Amino acid sequence: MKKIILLISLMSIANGHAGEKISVTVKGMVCSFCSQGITKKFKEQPMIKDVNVDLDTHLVSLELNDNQKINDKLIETILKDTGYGVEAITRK
Amino acid sequence: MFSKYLFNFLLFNSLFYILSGNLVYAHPVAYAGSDSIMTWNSKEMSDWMYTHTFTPFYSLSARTQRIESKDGERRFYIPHLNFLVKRWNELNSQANIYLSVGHGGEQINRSLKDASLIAFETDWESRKYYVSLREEAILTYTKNNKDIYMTKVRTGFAPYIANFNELNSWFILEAEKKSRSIDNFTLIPYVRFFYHNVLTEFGVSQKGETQFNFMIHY
Repeated sequence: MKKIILLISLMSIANGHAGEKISVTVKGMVCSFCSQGITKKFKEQPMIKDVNVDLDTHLVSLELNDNQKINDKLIETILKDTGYGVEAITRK
Repeated sequence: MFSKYLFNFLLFNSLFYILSGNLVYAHPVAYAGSDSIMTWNSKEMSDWMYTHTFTPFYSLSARTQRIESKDGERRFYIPHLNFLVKRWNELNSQANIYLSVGHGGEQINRSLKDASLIAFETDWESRKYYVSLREEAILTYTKNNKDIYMTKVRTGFAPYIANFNELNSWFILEAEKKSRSIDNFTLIPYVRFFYHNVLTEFGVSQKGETQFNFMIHY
């Protein structure tokens, strides 16, 4: 029983430390050539582990490093600096 | 001369509005901190431009142009500032208005004579369609008025919808009207390819002359 409790505790800790995933719906993102700055600018941020852009769904998906955070204001600023607008930010 | 140019400008643009119902353009201002190299080349001209974008609203370009004209070969060295005047970001489209102003020189013999550049650009694009318009004037302040006025209209479509990390292909038709040019009006169909941060265009004019354009930003 102790082993099961220990295992569950370890799994909880592992999940708690997993990097947060954020989906950003972006306005104006219609050209992949022009959108290259989005991945470049997000990857310059130390808390960002991975960035994916999907033009079909208008989504920029961010994966954060473990125990890292990024606030909505910074996400909006980065996208504004690359020339785009934010429609919605969803955190998982 | 200017009133004639204004009349032609309005006439040309009115026709374009009627034909397309939309406006067009390119991106002289990119994302903050980016650099780009663009070049347009044909038998009658070569144009090289390096641009640094400081903020999403303005950039600075260093530019050299060679133009074969009725007055012979002309070379211009005109740095210019580019401003994003207005942008409309929608989920499925983007539209922009840009303005460029600069002052430099035209190489005459071994000296540079004053020359200025003023340009207006506008574009609208979705993932399927693209239209743009550019008006450019190069003013030379000479007694025997050799100013160059150019109107360029482009419209294009993508034969398939490509995603972010895929090769994008476009068919583009360009109409250009340029004063003091050997050919006052040229019509050039292009194929455009871009992948990640590299863009190329290949075109052939109605006279069979080839055009090659290249752009990279980083």
